Amino acid sequence: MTEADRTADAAVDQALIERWRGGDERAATAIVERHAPALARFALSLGVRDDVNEVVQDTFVRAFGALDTFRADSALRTWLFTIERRLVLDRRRAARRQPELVEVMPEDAATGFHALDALEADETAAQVRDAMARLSPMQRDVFTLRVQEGRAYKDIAEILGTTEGAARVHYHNALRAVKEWLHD
Amino acid sequence: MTECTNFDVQDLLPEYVAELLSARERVEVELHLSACAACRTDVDVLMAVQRARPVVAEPDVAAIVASLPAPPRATPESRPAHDARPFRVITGDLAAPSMRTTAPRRRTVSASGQRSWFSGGGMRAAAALTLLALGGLSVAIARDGQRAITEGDAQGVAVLSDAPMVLAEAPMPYASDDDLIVPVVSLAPAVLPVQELPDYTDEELALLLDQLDAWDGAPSVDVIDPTPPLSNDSILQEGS
Repeated sequence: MTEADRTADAAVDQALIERWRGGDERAATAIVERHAPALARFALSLGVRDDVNEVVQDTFVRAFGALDTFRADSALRTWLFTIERRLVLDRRRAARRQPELVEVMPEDAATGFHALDALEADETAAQVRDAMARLSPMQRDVFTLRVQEGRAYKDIAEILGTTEGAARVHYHNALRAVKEWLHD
Repeated sequence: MTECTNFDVQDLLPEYVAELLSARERVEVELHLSACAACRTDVDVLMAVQRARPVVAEPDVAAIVASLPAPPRATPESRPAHDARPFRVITGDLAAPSMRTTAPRRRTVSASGQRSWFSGGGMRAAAALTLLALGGLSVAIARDGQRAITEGDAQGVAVLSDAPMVLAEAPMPYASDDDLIVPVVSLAPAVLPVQELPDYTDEELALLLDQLDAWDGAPSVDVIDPTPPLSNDSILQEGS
């Protein structure tokens, strides 16, 4: 995304937020429509399988409950990704504390997101996913945000709570690893 | 295979694969790729990763919106999320020349023959003063390089820096009341502290206006020409 695209995108988001703050609930619909698909993809890349819809919804609930704290110097999508990642980590921690209550059967994991994943049968895509699954969590998150979501290193650093330099290193290490595994 | 040492181009490869580069950047990358086998391999891998991006179902927007808290200033008159009236987001790139008017600047002259502060030029001058105030006391230098800066100069400028900047919804012939038009930044003329403006001569004001015109990021009160609006679909393509 070019800098001009980013600026225009941020201006639209900011105007929608102001509309919502002013009482126009339709602005919320526009914001959700703009960002929900990307949040669903990011949830999948974070390893969420059986409740992507719920994670996306909870992300928006948290975000709209804290919109007053949103700073316009950060892209709205970057901020939403940050919230979603924290939410997923919180849910994982909570699930670890109550392991006896969670018994996920393979068939339970079949969701609309899986059903529509037409690339599952694609051999190359499957190889890519296998390769990405072997990356460290940080490498995978950086690589996904950089390549599949087109985020800049600055945004990635903010979302993952790291530095731009570290994100850059993780990206290059991930690319080298995926390249080697694909060519094995 | 020889490792590539062009880190600038390597940084652009993900955006190149996602077709998000400007034309100039794309040409730069393609020129490099024609001579760099290592980067061509990287592009192949990145394309495979891009194609493996998960395909997700359309989110249940209505369910998500229904779970959200009410807007802080929601009133009985506020339009609900399920309002059936259209809600189009019309974007305009202020940097694009096609979106800027080429009409000559209007100069409003009052009955007494003096230029009105509410004319386009007056508002630009106020914007210039505000800008210069934020940058320090250089306004005084712009006015008169020979004269020392006085406390009065600084106070006069400081008052102007309070002039509010607002998002304005400019009248557009193709837009309805339900359209959201962004981003157009202008000054709010009704609340300008006119009586606090320093007494500039026409020559000084013309100098300020010329400086403002030369400043690329100047707030604009120009009317946007009636270029057909972008639809929500085109805006949402990026997110799909």
